[in-house]
Amino acid sequence: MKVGYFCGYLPPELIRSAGGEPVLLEPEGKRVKLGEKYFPTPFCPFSKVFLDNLLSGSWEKVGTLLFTRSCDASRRLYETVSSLPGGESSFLLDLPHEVGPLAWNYFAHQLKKLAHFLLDRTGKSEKAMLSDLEQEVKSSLIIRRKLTEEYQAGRLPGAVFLGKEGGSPPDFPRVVRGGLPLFLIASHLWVRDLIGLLEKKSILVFEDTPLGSRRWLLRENTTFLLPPEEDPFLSLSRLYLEWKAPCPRGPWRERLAFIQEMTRKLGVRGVVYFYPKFCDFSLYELKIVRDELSLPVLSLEYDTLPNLAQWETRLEAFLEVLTP
Amino acid sequence: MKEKTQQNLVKFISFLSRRKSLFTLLGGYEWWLKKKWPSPDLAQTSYLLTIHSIRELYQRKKPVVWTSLFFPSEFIWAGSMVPFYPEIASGLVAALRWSDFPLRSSFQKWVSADLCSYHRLSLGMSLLKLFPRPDFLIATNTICQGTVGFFQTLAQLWRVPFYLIDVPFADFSASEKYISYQLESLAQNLSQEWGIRFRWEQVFSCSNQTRAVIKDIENLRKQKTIILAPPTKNLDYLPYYYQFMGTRASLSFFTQLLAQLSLTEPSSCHRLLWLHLKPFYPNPVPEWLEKNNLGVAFEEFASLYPGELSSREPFSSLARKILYSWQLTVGRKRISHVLQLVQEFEVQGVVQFNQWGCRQSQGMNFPLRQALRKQEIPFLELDGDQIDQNHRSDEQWKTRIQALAEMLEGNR
Repeated sequence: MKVGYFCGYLPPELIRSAGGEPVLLEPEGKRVKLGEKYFPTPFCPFSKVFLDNLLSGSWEKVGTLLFTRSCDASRRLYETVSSLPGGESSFLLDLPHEVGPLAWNYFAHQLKKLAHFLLDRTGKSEKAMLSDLEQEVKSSLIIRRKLTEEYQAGRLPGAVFLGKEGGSPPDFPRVVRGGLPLFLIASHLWVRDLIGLLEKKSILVFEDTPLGSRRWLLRENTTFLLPPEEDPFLSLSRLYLEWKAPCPRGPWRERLAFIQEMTRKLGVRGVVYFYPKFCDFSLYELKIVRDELSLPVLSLEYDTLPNLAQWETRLEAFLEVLTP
Repeated sequence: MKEKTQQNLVKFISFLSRRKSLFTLLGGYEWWLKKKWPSPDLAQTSYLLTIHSIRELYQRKKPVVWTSLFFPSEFIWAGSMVPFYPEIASGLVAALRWSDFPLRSSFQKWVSADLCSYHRLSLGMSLLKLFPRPDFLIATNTICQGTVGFFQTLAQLWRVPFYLIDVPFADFSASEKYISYQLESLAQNLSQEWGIRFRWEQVFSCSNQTRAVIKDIENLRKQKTIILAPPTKNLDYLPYYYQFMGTRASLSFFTQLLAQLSLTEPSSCHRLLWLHLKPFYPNPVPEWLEKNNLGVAFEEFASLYPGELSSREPFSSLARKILYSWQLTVGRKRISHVLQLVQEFEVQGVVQFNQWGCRQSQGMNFPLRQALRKQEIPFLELDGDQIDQNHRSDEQWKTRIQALAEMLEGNR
């Protein structure tokens, strides 16, 4: 059973353990026609493009769709999808905003509910799922640690993390050519286009996006060892809430610390902040990044269509400032 | 030149607002007003309370706590702290026609014009140091996730601690426990770090009494001939529903409102249910509604938590109160609540004011529209901004209101 998801807080480890095949959904860009009917103008472009892809049959083979309560747009997208024919096969994973034991326990409980939702559809036994999950979490951690080391050492630039179907990790290490190092903070749409554009300008780009590295990297000072007797759901919950790289939804101090640490280790010369119009988290984070990061920041906004020509002009101006 | 004068004036007011002793003088003014108005009417009660709140907030004898709309004020009053709701205060600033300058100030400091204008204006007022300085911030993310970004930015700006009460989206009993634990640990934290002691009994009892009076008002408004005029006026009373719940001020205000409403002349206008809030700057919408024989029978934001607060289980009962906001925020719960209100208040049409920067409410419009259409209930959407006048479109509102009135006349 193919299980579609897009949020970085939805664990492919759990989908696989429950007998599903995780499919990271990456909506294709085109002029949005159907999505506009469901959402107003000042609304998340990703939700509109996602809905458009879904309604025009781009993901017919995906049997189940998973959403998270990561932001207002995501929960409204779930509500809209679940009100459509066939919407009963979608699931909303409640995602706490806080960190700490209360949140870990609450999230573990929600992950259990998701596991049961999936097991009901795949027919796999709970016992088999639990044993697989423990293994999945352990191997996931090993891979994530290695990827974090490689990324911090500057050996995983460009689009290397992107497009890995089913959450499979990228290959490493990779031979890296030189170039002006920049840090790219972006969301779901047009990431490949922008990385392509940056690479065309001989930029060594290190991306921080929910389609790419943010799904894989661990925070700094993660000294995590799984106690063998611990509930695998709790381990998974902690892995995602406490150790995985945080996203713009926060908590902002942790998120800012993560960005500061990564930009320092990678030795980047500037930040490209590529954000969706009407995304509250990005709009607030952009202000904090501008205020708190001691690096030049280029902000590029997008809506439901890419605007490569405009981005290129602004990028060129930014590069002139960086390399006088 | 005008800009320069405005800047200097703001600097001067900001300077004055930091002189605590100045606000002590307001005590004398308050005493004089009370002598002058021994039995104040609604407007005088509101004025007196505004003066009292300004004194308490700027005198800073007690910790000043900034909080979000759906965080129960009873928690703050029980700890002898002073609550400040920036979202409510933004409405007041807009009503006084002062919103342009703080909105511009926030925009100049990289606060996007696409964010919620309640939040943008509060950030502007904070940047200008015109709002009272907070000691700490407490917010829930129940109504929207944007609140989190807003309070995080406030925490960064004021350099004060921020405590988030994370409100889940599903699973009532697990959520109740989760919120209750968070409230308990917050209370412990505040006791240790700020020496705050919580006394629930009196505040909860006052809140429960007020709730009973509000229930009586609701029952009265369910009568077909009772309309609170002018239309949308009740939304000006939101501070009493939120900020002052748990105080004598709220109880006495609603007692007076109940008495006033009981004496209202019978009305034969078309009854509407009002969703979301309204533009708070002076605008002709209430006048057009009245001219077109349209009255507001009830407002979604006046829906009150129906349960009692209990001092034997303070955190659980407050958690349940917080979770009641699901009626506004969880799609299918909101829709069934709206349909229930349509029936209970015998309304003929529903109006929603679509706030430009409000993702959570506008994202729900499609299923809401569908549900109302299925029940053949006319649904009028007014697009604009409730704080920022740059997004107002008076002519469009007027045309739409007239169209609704014609439709309802035709249905008579």
